[in-house]
Amino acid sequence: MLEAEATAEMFLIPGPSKTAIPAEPSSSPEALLVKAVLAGNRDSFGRLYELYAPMVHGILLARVPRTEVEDLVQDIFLHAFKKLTTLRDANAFGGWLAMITRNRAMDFHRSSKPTVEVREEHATGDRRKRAKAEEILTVIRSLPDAYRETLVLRLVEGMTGPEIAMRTGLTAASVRVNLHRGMKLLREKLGIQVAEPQS
Amino acid sequence: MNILFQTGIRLSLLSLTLLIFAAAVANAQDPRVQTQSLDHLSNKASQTVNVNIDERLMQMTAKFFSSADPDEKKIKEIISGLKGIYVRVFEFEKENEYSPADVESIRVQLRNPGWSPIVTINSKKEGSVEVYLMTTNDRITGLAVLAIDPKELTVVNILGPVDLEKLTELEGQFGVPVLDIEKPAKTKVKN
Amino acid sequence: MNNDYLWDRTGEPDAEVQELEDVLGTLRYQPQPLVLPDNVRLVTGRKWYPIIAIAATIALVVLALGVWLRVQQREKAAPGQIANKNSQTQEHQTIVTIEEPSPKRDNSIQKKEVVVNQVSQPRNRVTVARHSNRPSHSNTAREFTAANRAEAEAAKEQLMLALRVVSAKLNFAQRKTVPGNNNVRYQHKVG
Repeated sequence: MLEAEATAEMFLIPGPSKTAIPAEPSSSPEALLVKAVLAGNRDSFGRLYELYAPMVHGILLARVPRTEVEDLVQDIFLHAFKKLTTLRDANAFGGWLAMITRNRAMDFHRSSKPTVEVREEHATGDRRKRAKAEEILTVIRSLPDAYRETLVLRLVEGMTGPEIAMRTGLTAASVRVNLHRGMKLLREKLGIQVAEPQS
Repeated sequence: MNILFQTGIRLSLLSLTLLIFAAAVANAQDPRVQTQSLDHLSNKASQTVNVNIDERLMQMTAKFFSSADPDEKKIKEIISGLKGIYVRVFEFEKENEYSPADVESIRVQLRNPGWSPIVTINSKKEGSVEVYLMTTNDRITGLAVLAIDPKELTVVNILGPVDLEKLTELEGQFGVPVLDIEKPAKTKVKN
Repeated sequence: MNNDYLWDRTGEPDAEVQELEDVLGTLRYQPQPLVLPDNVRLVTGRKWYPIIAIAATIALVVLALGVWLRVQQREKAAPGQIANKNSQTQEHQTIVTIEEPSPKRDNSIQKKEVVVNQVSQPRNRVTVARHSNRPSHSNTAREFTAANRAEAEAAKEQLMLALRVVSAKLNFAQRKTVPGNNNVRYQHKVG
């Protein structure tokens, strides 16, 4: 269930201006890797995969069932490889890849049948922890898009705020605000759940 | 020879694709919402509003707003650069005097790729409101509002660079009382 | 809440965030090798680039001319659209809807639409707005001919009405976008 954001967001214009690309020199490591791939070096793409797979995994985890994420990660990188020539600015690889990931997640929802994730009720040890993690992930998924994605990248994938900004192409300020507000909302929702009497 | 033939075929296909695409783009990017399909509702409505102000009239009218008066100055700023404003309101004595097909005739236009729905409100008591924006190169080129109430149907279409914030601030000015419940304090949030 | 720790894990650790990291970390991405089949290649298309570029340029010029001509035709037909079929069609007209008591019916309100054109002024006063103050005339009006002035003055009232309607609907939508209201869907195109 999506929760509407504050009033002023109604008037924000969606589009490229919302996700500003941080100013990086043209010789950033990622840009060099992209150029190497375009020059025919496939191994460089493997390196890009290592750098960006956690981000893609996190964005997908915020949107699609966990069981589908692994396959989709592979699909997305395959697609990104084929379409790399359409990337106009090598420095924008992260933001471009993030957009592909989000679109792919939307396509998944359009084409797939609803699935039910089965919870393990009688679990022990690590399984119990994992089950708890999935419950919390469900709560995170109920938050607005911008918050849930940032929270998953931070809390699940272990990326710091500056890393999230660098990889996704968002400004550090946006990421910071999303983390702060998202965390606040998450605490409220988890706090409410904790307060409920046990049956 | 075979290669030339294949090349020719490819070029023809490309030209055809470009032709279809250009036509679609021309259509999709037109911010004007046609409301002739609602004309028949005038007979059933107890009150109607029908405003059609094109760019020429808008520019002429803008000169009649005084820059010395702060309220009129605000309106002048809002309409500056606008290319048209079209409003249709139908008020009915009874409920369900218009059909879902009437509403759909407007909605189908707002599903064109150029339009982005930005807010959809559904309220059983107060009716629903859908707000759409058309943007080109990060600039607003059109606004459409579709307000559906059991006894009222409103379609608003503004062409050109619309300042949404200034528009919402208009209510409550010029001696016009707020048309609905008291407005809560604005919680403007910046990223 | 320790914002620094949440931001970049510096400063005093936040116990709640640490606990969430610990629990949610069980879902973290586990590195898998990337399978890139040999037959998957970059899509380049450079071989055809010169030919396609020239053909596309020619095709686009032709298409652009066609689209431009179409838009020109549409602009000529678009301004001053008339809802009432019985009224005379003229370029750049304003339609005003008037309510007045019907002589034929008992205590009923008859509504009609009047075309305000450049030649004549409307005989009946426009009373469409329910709450309104008439704005004062600007001295700029002297620059115009009497016909233009009449048209612009009528349009000015209509414009005010239109802006009020728009403002009211946008404010309604804005009021409803308060967090926690489950009747609202917030939509945006690019994720």
